Amino acid sequence: MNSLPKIKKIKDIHIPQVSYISIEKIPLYYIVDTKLDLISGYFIFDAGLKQVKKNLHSVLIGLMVAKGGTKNYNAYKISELLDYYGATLNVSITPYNAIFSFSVLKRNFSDFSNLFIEIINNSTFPDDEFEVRVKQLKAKQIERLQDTKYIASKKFTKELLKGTPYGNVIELKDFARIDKGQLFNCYKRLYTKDFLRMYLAGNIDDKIFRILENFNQIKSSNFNFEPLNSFKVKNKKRKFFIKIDSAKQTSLRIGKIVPNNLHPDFHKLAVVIHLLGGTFNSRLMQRLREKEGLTYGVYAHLTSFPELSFLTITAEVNSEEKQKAIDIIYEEIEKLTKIPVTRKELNTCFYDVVNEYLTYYDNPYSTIDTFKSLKELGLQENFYKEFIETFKKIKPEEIIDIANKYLTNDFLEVVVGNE
Amino acid sequence: MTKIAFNRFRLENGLTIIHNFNDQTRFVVVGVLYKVGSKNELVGYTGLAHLLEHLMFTGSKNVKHFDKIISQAGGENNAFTSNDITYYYISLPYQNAEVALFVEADRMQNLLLKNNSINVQKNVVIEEFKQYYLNRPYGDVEHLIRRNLYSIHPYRWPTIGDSIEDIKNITKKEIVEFYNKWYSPDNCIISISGNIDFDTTKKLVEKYFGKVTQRNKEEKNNITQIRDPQTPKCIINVRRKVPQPAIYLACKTTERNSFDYYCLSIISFLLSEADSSILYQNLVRKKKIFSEIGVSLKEHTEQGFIVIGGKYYRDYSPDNVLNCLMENISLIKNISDFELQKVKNKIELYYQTELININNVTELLAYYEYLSDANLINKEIEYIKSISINDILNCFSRYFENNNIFVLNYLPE
Repeated sequence: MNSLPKIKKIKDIHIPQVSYISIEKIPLYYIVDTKLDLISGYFIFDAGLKQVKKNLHSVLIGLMVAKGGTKNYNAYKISELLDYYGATLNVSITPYNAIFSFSVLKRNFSDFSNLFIEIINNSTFPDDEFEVRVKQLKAKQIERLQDTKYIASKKFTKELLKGTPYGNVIELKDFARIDKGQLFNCYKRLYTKDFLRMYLAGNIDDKIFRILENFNQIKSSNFNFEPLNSFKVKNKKRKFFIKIDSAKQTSLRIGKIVPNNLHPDFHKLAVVIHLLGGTFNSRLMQRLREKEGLTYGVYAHLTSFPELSFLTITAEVNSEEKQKAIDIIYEEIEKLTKIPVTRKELNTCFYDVVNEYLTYYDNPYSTIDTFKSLKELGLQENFYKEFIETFKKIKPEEIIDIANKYLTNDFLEVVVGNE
Repeated sequence: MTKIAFNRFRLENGLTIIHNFNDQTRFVVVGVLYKVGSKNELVGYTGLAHLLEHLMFTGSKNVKHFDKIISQAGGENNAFTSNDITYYYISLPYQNAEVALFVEADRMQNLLLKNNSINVQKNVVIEEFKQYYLNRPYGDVEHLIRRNLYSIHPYRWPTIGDSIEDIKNITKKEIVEFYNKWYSPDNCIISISGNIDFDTTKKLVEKYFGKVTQRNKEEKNNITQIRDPQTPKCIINVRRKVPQPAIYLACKTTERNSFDYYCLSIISFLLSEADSSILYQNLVRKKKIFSEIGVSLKEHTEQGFIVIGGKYYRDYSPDNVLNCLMENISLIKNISDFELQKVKNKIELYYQTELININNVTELLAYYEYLSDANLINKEIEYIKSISINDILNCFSRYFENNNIFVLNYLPE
């Protein structure tokens, strides 16, 4: 009979080299893959919530630039050309940047990039298109406000990040206060080559570089950001319960502000959070799902912005046993502050993490995606390697220390469900 | 376009193996496709195939803690159940490929079905049901469409199950019978991609799967042979706690493996994929009737279906919206060469991007082999490119110009 083959321990990750050049002062990071006839990547502007200040405004500006129409092409023509080029162009607004992600068949990259330059330089925000987008966003927002998951996440973000540039969540009343002129001016200031970075992967050769030189046609602006007002956030124990009579499940969000990812304790704290709820083998998942059957999934994760990070524990649980689920979450946190983790558990978690990071770098497209995420947060490309090194060396007693230092009793707790 | 090279071989116990070598990755992905899905369940016990998928991670004779072993090998794993198939994958560093084959062979023949695991996983699945189908606006649309579109075929229910009651009804006896009937090597395709050569693959597969016996000799026909009668034209109104009315038109179409399916893919793109599509341009942008609109073409190996619809603003009546929608769907008949080429280019991009990730390649090879031939991974784009305007028009008239359309008016309370 066969027995379990000996497992070879994988303890390191290999980070492929990402190349860099500057095109007319626009940074270009890229990695070549000749297997597919494809160019894929990101054009990123400093036009996120932090820069635009209002969440709804930053989203609307991004949408109008990407899909609204320009001096030379209306919205329909832009979408038709993108399709004809075999291209996708999507915009997502994050708390600190505006990301235009794209993929295009290599043979059409020249046409695609000319169209992108047109979009960035000559968007006009036509009234009709603007009205459609506002109506759509408002309808979606009204729908979300009937979803316990969204209600819980919105309340959690709003309360936890109050007083920071990131605490501005979209409210229905914001739709009555949109000033299109103000948005257009904001677009003119921020969607310029001064605030642009490019991250590309794919079949990049000399011809592609020559095409990219055309990006020097993207306009510049003399705009300078005002320095960000300094802000301090303090954790405070708070509990919110939002009653939704029709809810069939209860949404839980529990968390707190923690040091940002440049802090010397960050990697150690990340180990603790992985143990708590970062993987399928984590304590919360094993206990709440695999032992008690109270949820389909429970996760603990750290979200990072350039100035701060925060912990969120997320679960949708059986309403009849919501208090039991909440108690288990706090119980598991408390155990981390008191009982040393076994070497076996630490090892399982370590290999979970290593595998996750291996996938980040498994192909050129995932590599550039990972590189982009780190770079945009101001982190070095060996960030995950450093984390793995910290993980290898961490001792059970350090885990107790870190848990005591950061996972104490001042959690924000949001519960949304029926009685 | 890039071609994916692969080898195929078969063991005496009926197991089919597809192998694709790729030395650009440090991973090996082992994908295991069982030819069984929710369509093979019985009324009253729906959700069984998906529940068994959960239980496949709760331990087998020689692998007590499945997830932990995969983690220690630096791997990750998951699975999904569809109406037609159940697919498991393990992705792990190439040095540990053998571990994946060992654990998959063990759970193929030695699954432990403990009462406690069954009870816990039933609760987990019930919470999944609530999270995705009950506790979200418009969450029950798929249930309503399937229930009304099919009268006897088991595509009547989604993979999660027809109801929470059905999941509660399932007992250990049904699970064991289902496992014994379907989880047998002759009902399985294993797809192995990544940094592992053919000879090693063959040797390891023979080592771990060669002695797995067919659990029963009866022929396992994944095709139900159930022919659903024509759906008569019918309009159903439901009222739910939602902010906006929605309308969904659905009609039965064809098998995934037919030429018409490719034509329908193009029709779907023309109607709703991207902002330049007919429905988005006319009904969202110009007439501002809908806030969102889409087309979903269900790829089933037996007679599938297509759903067209979305959410519209309260200023419009369901009758007006239905007429508008029908009129605009008919605009497919005016399709130009440019529009057809536009869609073909877009589909070509999707095929290319699917090949980036080794997990996708592994799954596609298994799925295409299940359909008929793994080489569809290379051929499908050629089928798409060969489609003419006439093909589109003929296909359109076959499925859309009859009265067998089901309409779901999903209205606010």
